[in-house]
Amino acid sequence: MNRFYLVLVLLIFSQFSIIAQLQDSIFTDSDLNVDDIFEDSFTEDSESDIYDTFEDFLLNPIKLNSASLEELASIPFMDLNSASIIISHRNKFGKFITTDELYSITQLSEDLINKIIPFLKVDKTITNDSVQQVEQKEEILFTNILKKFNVQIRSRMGSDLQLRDGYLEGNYVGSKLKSYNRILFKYSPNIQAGVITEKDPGEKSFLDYYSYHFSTKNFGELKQLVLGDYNLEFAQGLLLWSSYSFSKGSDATLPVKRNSRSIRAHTGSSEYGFFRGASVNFSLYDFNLLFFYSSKKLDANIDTISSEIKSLPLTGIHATKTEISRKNSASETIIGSRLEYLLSSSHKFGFTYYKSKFSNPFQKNSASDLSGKNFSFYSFDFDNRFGPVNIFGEVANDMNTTALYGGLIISPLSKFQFASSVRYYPKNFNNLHAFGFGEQSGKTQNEFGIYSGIKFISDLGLFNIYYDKFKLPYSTLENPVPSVGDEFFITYQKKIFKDFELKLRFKTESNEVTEQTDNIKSLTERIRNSYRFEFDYLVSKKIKLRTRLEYNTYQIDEMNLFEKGFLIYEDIKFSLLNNLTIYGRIILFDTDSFNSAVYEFENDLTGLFSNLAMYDEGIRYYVLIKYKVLKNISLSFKYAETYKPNERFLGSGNNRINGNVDNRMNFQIDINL
Amino acid sequence: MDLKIIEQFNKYSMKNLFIALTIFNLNILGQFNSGAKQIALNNSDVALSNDVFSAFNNISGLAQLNWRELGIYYSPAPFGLTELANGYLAYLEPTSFGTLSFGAMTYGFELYRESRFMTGYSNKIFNNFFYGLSINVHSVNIKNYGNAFAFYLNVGSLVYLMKDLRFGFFIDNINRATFSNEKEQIPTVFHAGFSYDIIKELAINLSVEKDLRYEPSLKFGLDYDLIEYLSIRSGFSNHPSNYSTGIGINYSMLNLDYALFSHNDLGLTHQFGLIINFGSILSRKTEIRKFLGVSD
Repeated sequence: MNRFYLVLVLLIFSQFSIIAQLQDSIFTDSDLNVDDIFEDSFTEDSESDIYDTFEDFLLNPIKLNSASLEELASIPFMDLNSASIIISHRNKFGKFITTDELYSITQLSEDLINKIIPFLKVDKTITNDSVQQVEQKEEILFTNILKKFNVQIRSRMGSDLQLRDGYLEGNYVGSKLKSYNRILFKYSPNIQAGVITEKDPGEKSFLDYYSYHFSTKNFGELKQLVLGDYNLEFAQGLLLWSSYSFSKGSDATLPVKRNSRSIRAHTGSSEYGFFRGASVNFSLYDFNLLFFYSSKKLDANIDTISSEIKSLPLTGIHATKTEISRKNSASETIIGSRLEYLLSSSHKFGFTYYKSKFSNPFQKNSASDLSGKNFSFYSFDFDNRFGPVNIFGEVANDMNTTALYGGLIISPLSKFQFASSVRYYPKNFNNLHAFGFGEQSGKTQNEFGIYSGIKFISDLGLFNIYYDKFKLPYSTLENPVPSVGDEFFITYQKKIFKDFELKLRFKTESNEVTEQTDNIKSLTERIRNSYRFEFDYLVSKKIKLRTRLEYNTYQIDEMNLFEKGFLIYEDIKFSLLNNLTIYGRIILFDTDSFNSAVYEFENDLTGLFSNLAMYDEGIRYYVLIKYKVLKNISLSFKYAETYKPNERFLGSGNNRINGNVDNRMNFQIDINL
Repeated sequence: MDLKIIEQFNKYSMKNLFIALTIFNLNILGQFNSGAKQIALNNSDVALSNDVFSAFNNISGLAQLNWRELGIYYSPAPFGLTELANGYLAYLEPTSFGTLSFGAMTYGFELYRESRFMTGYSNKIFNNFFYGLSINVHSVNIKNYGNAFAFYLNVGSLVYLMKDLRFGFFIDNINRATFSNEKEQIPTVFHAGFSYDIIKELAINLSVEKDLRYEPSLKFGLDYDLIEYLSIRSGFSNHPSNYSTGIGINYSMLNLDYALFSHNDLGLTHQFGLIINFGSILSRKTEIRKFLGVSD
């Protein structure tokens, strides 16, 4: 521990010297710091490409002056109540001149505005001179075409500097290089085509994963058409949803209700959870009518004798011979439709049906609990608003059993929000494309739970509190008997001084797990507590510092097990020049084992996030440089290193590193023409 | 034939045994408190206590009301067992020297029955400090075994820290009375908590309950007057992990309340309550503010 104090002192000391040097700088911080927003809102997952959805919004911001209530409410972090406040402000005071005008609406919290402002823009409206403008438009039609045409290229390369065992022993067929390339062609905001390729470390071909799409929007009745790869997100995710969404986290009311985006072109590098084919959305009067068709190859673990599917691995990695043999070894064909009825802006009803056919039947007792090869599902969903009360839900049926999700959000004033939901997913409800709210990272099976959350912006600071209790009424892979658990979470956030913000977080989680006690396997209560203390300090407009302390405990009383983990980090964001920003972080961690690992959410290359588990004893640091070379070209570079002095190996299996250093380099170029 | 009778007898007595055990073990659980509103708030309302059923909870809160009130409450079959049915009756009478309250409770079935009668006194000092105490006579009657009685005292207090923020505490059975010679047959429970009006229509309640024998339980409840005639409520607690929700319909002299209570292991319970108030014309919260001279 002494060493930690020493480092702490050094860190604090180093801050002062930086402050002394750069206090008098003038710089406007226009860089978007989305990672602050996303932290805690997603499941613990490394390098997830959650950014893609948000990037869609960032590239095509919602027009503040012409957006409908629905459009505004679809913005991440926005709730229906705040959206209607914005609209009523617009109706009362006229069009917005800048997005900053939102801060003048006293009913909206500053915290919310900070979060949504990156996704909004002010549209210059055609007013009295519309006739003139039309004439002008015709003249410059040709230049307009060119102007409207836009190409975005993103290319990312990265590699471990250490050689993992998989390469040394020849288990991995390819090189350790990781690459991701994406090119998007856009004509006006409504037409887009794109190609994405990706190679994971250890894979042979640079085209191991590829994806393509063509998408067009808003042509009369045709609201949207996507050919190629697309995602479907409907209602509350009991029937169809992409492979991620908000989960329980630092915003207590947000995850209760999904803001579905129906059809969306697939631009991410996630190798599952999307569809390949065509989907279309027609808008007729108050109805939306959607059709979708998909035929896609899947990675599957197939029994060689019966040619039945044993399991569907969802890693998307094809580095070893076994993994390659599983690649695209089965296929799924889907056809479906959805009808939406919008009674008014506050009442929405929907009905979805889809049918799925696999090339091979599932083995009985397969990992996914499915059997047969034909499946069909339907669901009914609703979303109604009565003044400050929003009631929504989805009822899904797989021709066998019914799964339910229902929720309630009450926002009597913008500073206070209460949300609650009930989920009931029966044991035999099998839907591979569902991604529901719950304990089991999206799985809508064998769970009953009640969630309540409160977000309260008081004069004393911002509070987020939630309590979730859940029951898994049947056995799971981990537990042979039913189990229960609950979770309590509270965060407190307050700007103590003008440039100094304090954040406190406490989380306690109780689960039942099967452990060996006195030679008998029995259900034991596992309690995990996490205490976090964090402060952000804006030294100057150029420098932002953040210090975090986190302490975790992991205990099972029946086994006399008590483990603890500790993490401290110091983070700096330094905007050296208008177009050059440097991010750096030093992390020290000391945990008894993986059980008490502390998770740490990292800034990464644009479009990427990492949420890494820090465990054992060691140090990690990274430097990230984002440099906008020209107006159209930006570069980013990241170097990260983890060092665990007391270990001889890091990782396990094919990923094992013979040594105690794990370092990695990434480079990205973005070109926008 | 004989065998069948024995079988039936066994079945019956097993069921009774189970029920008797359940009753003794569940005595401390929330759903055996009175008031559908209190239960919808998961009994987190120690610092709210603004209706007649506070006679069985934080009795000091009754001094917030300056009108007569009569309440009747019934829970027909907790966790699906009609044998656990319980009912409460409460009445309050404001007088010039303080508020008097009377109440009665019954629960159980023909073989096992508990009854309780209470009378209480509450008053206020300045317009922001309230206190109250009640004397309870509690009896238990087990068929073929006889009766047992106990007397015990409950005390409570409530204080307005600010016009919107209240703190309250309440102790059940402060003299640790018990039935006959067995120890701790009647639990001694300590409650303390805060209640905060975010806006006039919306109160959040947070409280801690500590039974001498069990782990402390953290309770939370939300009471929101959605429109003039309708209130919605929700609450949760840990140790044990409970969830509750409810609605209240307020029309003229009548307050009709319903609560749904879910216990993680035992399942659901439905509760109903009716309060007749003689005198309050405006909504309960407005009337109290008016009486205490709290400006909006």
